[in-house]
Amino acid sequence: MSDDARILVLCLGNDLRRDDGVGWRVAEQLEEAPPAGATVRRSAVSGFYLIDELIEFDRVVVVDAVRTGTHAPGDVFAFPVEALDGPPGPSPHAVGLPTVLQVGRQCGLTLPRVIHVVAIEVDDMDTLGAGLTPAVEAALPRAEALVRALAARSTA
Amino acid sequence: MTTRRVTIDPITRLEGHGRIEIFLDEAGEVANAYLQVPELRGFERFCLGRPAEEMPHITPRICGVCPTAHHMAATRALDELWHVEPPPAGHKLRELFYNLFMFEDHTLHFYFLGGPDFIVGPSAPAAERNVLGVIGKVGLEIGGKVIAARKEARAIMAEMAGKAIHPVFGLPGGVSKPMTAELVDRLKRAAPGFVDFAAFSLQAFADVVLKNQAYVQTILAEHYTHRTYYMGLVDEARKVTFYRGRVRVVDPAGQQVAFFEPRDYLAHIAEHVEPWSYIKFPFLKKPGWKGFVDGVDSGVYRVAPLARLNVADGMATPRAQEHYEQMFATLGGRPAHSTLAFHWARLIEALQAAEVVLACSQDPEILSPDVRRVPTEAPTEGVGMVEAPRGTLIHHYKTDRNGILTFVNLLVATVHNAAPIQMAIKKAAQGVIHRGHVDDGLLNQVEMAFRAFDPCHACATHSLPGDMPLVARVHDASGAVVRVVARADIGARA
Repeated sequence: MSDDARILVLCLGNDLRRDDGVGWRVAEQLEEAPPAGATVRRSAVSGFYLIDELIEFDRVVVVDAVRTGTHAPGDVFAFPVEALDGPPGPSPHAVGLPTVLQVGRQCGLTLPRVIHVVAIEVDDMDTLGAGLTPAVEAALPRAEALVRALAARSTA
Repeated sequence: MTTRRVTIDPITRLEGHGRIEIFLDEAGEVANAYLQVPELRGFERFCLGRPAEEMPHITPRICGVCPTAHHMAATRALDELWHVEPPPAGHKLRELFYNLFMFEDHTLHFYFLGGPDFIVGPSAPAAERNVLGVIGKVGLEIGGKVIAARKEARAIMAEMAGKAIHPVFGLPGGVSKPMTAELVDRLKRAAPGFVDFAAFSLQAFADVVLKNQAYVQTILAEHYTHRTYYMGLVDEARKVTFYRGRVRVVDPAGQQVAFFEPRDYLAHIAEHVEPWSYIKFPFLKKPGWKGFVDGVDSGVYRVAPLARLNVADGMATPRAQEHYEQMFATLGGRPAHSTLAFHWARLIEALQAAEVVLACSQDPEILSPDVRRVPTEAPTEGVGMVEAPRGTLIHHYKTDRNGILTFVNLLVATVHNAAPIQMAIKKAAQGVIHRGHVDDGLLNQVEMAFRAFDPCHACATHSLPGDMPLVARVHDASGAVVRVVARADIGARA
């Protein structure tokens, strides 16, 4: 497998939970013309199940909904995964991406060297149903552009 | 009267939102404790008016943890809805697929979720009570082994079903495609490794847990014990089965009190409503609802791995059977009532699942092209029941003649176990919290009581970053926070 083929754009979400589907909508846009050398994948898993998605790739862009509660819905952020400020889970029952990566590496797994996150602040992911709220829908072009820029940087 | 309230408030994308409330009396003893769950509501209503054939694809999205179980329960419900019996190879491929899932899910749970309490120890410092602690005890290579075994199982599932997470596999009357010779070869190469890995895991459990008398005493502790009824599917020989069978219920003494087809579940189960919870609490109609109490007079029952082993006459495979016998000998006979033994039963089930996969891999029938019967009758009503990793899962649909859903009822494992989980939390809290002394280690021991059930509250919301903020607050009688016991919120530094 060539080095370029080991770039993953991992779009996380649940398209039956309103804005939680934003990652999949970004995937939909990317799939029409995938970034050069990148695999675009949709996933609904979380926690340690994410290892299954990440393990074969060298560089990854993760796209996901975020609810900080301190930003406006539709705000788009891009940051390296190391900036995710998650404490080590007090219970093994729920873990986030930072813990997954830490544990995976300490288990001796070869996980991606570089992971960037593109996160979209959401409004509603508690209502059942398809479709994004207007502010989040409007953020799609910005999110897509950020993902493309990061994927291109990953190939450089 | 002066009381104070301790709150364990886990908010997590994996398990939904839950909160343990512990009420202490003036002496600092536990007066009451319960779990509050803001459940994902309205899913059944959301399904009404949709074509029934969409259900195997919609319902897996309820949950980011066990979508395969919903896919299979929905598929079984569609068989009955359309009055169509899959050909033998259709059943066989579903059974193979489902056992691959049970194997990989159970092993993940044991090493990453449930195992730390046992292999590292319930009172170990929180910083060590995680999968890294497990690795430290059983060897550095185990992390890689878990991942490698699960990865191959999931890769085969993806080949069979299009994708492992949200499968496109089960159809009314069978499955979407037959196996190829290449895939069967791959399965034959992988399956012995699955059995070896499951057996290795049981050996690790024996070496680390069973040889440590303190751990065994923890499993057997009275504050982790409830003498309830048990429910689960059994096969024709009344052995443990996950994919299809009849429902057997035993009483706290192990006597069979009901044995029925899945479609008759409403004749045996009713639901009790409490004003403080969204969850309805199922109970057995015959003994009836007597409150959150165990014993033969109370209709409270449990599902999940230990329940399945309690209702069955044995395991369906030989190596798993050996461990079944050892477990009940250690726990003082069948049925076993120790909540923490759920973890042990889970490993025995993982071994059975691996052995079933191995047997399927050697069965020429899995190469049959005859994998589906196309339905010809008008749809009416169907009940599908499978054993999900966390316990019995029921899907019940009714449609009009065009197959449009007019009734949907989903009864998931965590709901079956809702009353026992409440009881388990209260009894554990009463067992470990005394004279007002509450610390992280004691709260973990309370959490262990419900972690054994592996409760999953139907939430697949995927917001970053996903780690579980656990806040334990101590309130005085006026409601003011007088002490924060553990951890705070998280956010992305964007």
